Amino acid sequence: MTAIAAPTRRPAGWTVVAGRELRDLWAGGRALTLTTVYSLFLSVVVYLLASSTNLNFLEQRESVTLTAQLAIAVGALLAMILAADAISGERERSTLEATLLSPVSRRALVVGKLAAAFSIWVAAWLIVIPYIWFLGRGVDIVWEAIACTFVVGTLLAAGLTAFAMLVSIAVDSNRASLSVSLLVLLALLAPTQLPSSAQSGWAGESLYRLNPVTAGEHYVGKLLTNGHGWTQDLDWLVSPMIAAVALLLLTAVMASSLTLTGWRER
Amino acid sequence: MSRRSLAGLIAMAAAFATVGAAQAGAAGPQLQVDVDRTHVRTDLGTTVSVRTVTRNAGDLAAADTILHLNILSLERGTYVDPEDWSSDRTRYVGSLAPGGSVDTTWRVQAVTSGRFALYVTAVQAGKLTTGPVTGPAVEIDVAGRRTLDPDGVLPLAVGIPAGLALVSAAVRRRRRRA
Repeated sequence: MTAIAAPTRRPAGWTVVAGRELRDLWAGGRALTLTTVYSLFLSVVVYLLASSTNLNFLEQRESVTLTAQLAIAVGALLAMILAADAISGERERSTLEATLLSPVSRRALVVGKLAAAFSIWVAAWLIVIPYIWFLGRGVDIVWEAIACTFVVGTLLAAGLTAFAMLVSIAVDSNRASLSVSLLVLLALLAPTQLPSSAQSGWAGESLYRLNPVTAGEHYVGKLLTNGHGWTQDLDWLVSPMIAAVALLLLTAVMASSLTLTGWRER
Repeated sequence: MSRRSLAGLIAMAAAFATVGAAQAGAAGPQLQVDVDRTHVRTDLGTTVSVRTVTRNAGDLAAADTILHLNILSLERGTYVDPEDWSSDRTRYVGSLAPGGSVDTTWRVQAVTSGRFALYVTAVQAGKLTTGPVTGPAVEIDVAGRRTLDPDGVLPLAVGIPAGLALVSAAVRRRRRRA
């Protein structure tokens, strides 16, 4: 009598794609180069902040906030760059046809690539931890800052990565995909440069709340600089949450319309 | 002295007497600001509360009363930005009836170590010429503690990018060999 072998469970298609993409990104060196540049940027910022000997208690909290906000913005930017390149880059390198012939669904393909692009945000968050610890230990906000950076950064990076992936699915040129993604990120960050008088009032506050990037960064500021509790300004996280969920769902839905040429040729 | 000039002198004397009497019984609002304590000892980063009682000791209402908190350093060379200590330093308390008072609590965060004086000034918006009234100053002693070591930043700022660059170079070299 021969023993019947137990059926082996096949891994989900998206995990296979994600594994291959992760190896490509990290063992290929591209993600490591980006994270090295990112850490260099953080080093310059933190050096300038810490070497100022006249920082008072509040300014030191503000410097932790600034570091967390920059880490979120730049970490999300890195994830966006990788996502924007994921499909349109393969189109341009003429490798998309072979990828589409692999025995996984288009949705699994897109979700796997999305997960791999998102991994750089996780790395960016791990890298910022020592910087936050250095600046924040004297003013007792290390754990709040680390946790808050993770929560807000994850929401924003998820939404922005999904958006860049949508653009990458839609356009046939890698340059167009990267340009559109970066332009949208800059437009979302632009209101942070407005004078505080323009941010107050009904219209200014509404714009700030509706824009997921400014709303998320505002929440970080209130929690870390002003010492508010986690739940006190939770309504500011509504738009980052909605944006992340809606864009991820839209990407999963639109993944089935992934074609060799993008939407232009349809 | 003629009769007319004597009458003039009497009239002038009467006029002075009338003005003097009016000034002696000067009616109007009289604001006083009192504090619940005059000395606070605290640590850097701690929020302290100071309570003031603003009273109208006059016989007329003090309309449009505004209270304003200010902080200054008692030591030369210590920079103070009162906005860093409290973002809520002006209170519009409105009208204070004769004999009436208003309690105000001021929360300030000690953001710099050293010796500071905190005081509250009361101003009436419609009577600026009578001058502001200032209450007694509260001395705040803030004990310092080291919150940031600027010397320690260099190893961190250099070490992390250098470590990542080394890993990146090792990965690339391994890939090239493979």
